[in-house]
Amino acid sequence: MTNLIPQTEAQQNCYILSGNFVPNDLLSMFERKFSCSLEPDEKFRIIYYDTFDWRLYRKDEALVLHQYGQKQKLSLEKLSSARVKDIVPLPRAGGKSLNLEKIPSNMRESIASTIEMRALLPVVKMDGKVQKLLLRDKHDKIVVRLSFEKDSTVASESGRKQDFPERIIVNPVKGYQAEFKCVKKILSRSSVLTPHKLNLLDMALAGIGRHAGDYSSKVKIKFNPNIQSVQAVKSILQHLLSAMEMNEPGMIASLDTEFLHDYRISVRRSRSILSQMKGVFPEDRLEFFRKEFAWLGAVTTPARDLDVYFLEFKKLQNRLAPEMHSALLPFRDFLQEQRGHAYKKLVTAVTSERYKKLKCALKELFKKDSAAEKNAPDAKKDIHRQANERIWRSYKRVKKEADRLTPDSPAQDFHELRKSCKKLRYLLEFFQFFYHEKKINQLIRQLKILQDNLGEFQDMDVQNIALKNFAKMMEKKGVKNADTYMAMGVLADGMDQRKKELQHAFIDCYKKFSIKKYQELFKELFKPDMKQEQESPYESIG
Amino acid sequence: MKVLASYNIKGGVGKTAAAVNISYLAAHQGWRTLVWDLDPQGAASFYFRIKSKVKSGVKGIINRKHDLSDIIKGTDFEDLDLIPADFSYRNMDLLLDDKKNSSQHLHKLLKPLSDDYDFIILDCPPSISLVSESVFYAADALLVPIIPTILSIRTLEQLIRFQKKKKLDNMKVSAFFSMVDRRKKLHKEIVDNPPLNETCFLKSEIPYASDVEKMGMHRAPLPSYAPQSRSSQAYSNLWDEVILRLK
Repeated sequence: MTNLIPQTEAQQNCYILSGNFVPNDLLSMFERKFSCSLEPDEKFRIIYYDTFDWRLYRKDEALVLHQYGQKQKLSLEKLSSARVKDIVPLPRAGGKSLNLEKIPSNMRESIASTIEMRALLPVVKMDGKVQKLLLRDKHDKIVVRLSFEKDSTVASESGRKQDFPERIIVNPVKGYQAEFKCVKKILSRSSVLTPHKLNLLDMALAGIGRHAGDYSSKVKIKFNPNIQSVQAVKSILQHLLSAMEMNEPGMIASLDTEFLHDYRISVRRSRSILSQMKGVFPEDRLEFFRKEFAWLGAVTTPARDLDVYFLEFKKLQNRLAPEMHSALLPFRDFLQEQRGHAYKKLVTAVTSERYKKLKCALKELFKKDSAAEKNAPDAKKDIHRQANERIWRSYKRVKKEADRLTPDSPAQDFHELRKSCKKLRYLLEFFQFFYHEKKINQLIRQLKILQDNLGEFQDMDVQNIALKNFAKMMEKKGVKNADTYMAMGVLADGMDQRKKELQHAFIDCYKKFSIKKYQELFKELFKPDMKQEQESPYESIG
Repeated sequence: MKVLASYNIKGGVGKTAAAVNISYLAAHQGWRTLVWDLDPQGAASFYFRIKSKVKSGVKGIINRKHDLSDIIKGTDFEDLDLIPADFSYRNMDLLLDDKKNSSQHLHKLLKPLSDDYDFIILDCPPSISLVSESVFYAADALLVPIIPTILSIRTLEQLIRFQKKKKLDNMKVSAFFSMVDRRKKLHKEIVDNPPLNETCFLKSEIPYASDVEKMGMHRAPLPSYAPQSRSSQAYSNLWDEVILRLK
């Protein structure tokens, strides 16, 4: 990722020092041309912030907190050009995450549209001392500033610390270009200075053994299409377990709603791959995982459902007439309380012995076990073939269930189809690297449109029932605000109406999904008998 | 970006000292600040040790031969830049007169700088002219130093009448007492009972003090070399009030 970023002008103004060098060496380089003065040492700290899934970095942006002495500034920078998009002074505040509310409005809006519901977390921190060298002309006017950074370390949030090389940074002063060029020329002659090759964020991350984009909720595993199914499924499960473990701390600390969301997706994907590829493990082993993953799904559901309510609270309010907006506030307070309870239960579950046992059993499963694989009929089948069979079967199932649906079909049938679509989607994503990238992405996109419709239908259905249950619970708790119940009733009615609209809209969505072009594409890519003579468009990559 | 103009019809009332000192305080807080020394006398440029000379003179600026950003000079203070004065600025009125919508011209010139600066502070020449009108249109707020004397108050009345006549309703006029010598009975009376509409007067007052005059010797903003002085504190209070009004 980092190698693709060209060296920017700002990087060219930063030099890494090698060998012994003291500020006075710097002074002696310039004193023939300028009147020089060294300022006293000052402590500095630079903290890079991003979301857990690198949303700013993916948009070529970096959010950087600079602390020098008593001052603190927050800048939003374009990574590829190192251009500062916006910079603001910021009052000092504690806390692990950077509170978006504390950021002035223009910058806040720009960041909020990128990070959406995710929290800003410190990614890497640099600490050190800086000594400034001021270069003046014959009128005693400062014409160039140099910063000598020393005794620097980089540290991750978990505390992993590493020494960071000494740096010289040349800061031009506007309107004094000739002097700046002169300084650069003098520096270029030095044998102990080399310009930055990477931007500072990538350098700092490398220092703590990380790289940007090292977490993504997407499953992108490249394996050799000829490996045995059992190995491939183990790789997928290993990847999913690692995603679960990466999300655990943020989920437990409730840093934002997406830790739990991504965690649950990994749980669902694990359940799905185990059931879709059940022939690769002995049946007696699968039963345990089926039961335990189902438990994990169930125990995390209430917290996620309540998170969804919170994320969509504004949307819910907007479904009401403006004068009814405030009537929903007691409902939000109730949700807040329920959410607290739900997260407590969730934390108890994921810190329990039962959960530890599940993870241990998974890790045990990843070990080679020839005896067990002998008892599994599909363990040794090659994965590409197995993937074709499973995807084709899953697609046929989706088609069969969807063909039967009419706008008047019961909600349960829509839910069943939603689950089948999800299984198909997971399979397409797990094995996407076996297939032509553009073609499979086209199918995933179409499936996603169908899933969005079915997903919203499910939300409306579940939320409608939940609203009624919540109202009963609130009544029991003594909430006596009639306007609140009326507003919740209006919402429930609106959801019923929306469900009907979605059922009708589904027919159109499915029509688009099931056009001949996509049917042919499914056949071409996955139908086993058509695939026998066909070779993968990609070379072996495992 | 907020544009603030230090302005008075009358000269010698502390406009430049106010512009230089509050611009320094703004930059010191971390705001990206630009001062435009519009006065051909070039006192603000002098305070910042920058030569009063602009490439292509005022013609180049008004006729947009180059961008304003090409003539900006960095001061000795981080986050604080300056567009220097030029003796040719004395002809700015004539050049603006040739322009369509001359009163909006300065506003248009400053607009491209809106991403680069949080505050632009205009140090204006004394007079009421087309340049002033253009300043009034460009500025979010007018900072008017007033010496507590009858004549000085009269200039404020003239300014407010002009504002009404030109219907410059959006422009916030913030007057403050400058060069206040409380040993003088008249100063004390006027400061304690501000005339006109009290709401246009800020609470902060700048004392008459020799350390302000010494800015010429140091060629630097007062709070940069005497941050603890009474006058520095007065400018700091003034800036706090101004920034609060601008929000």
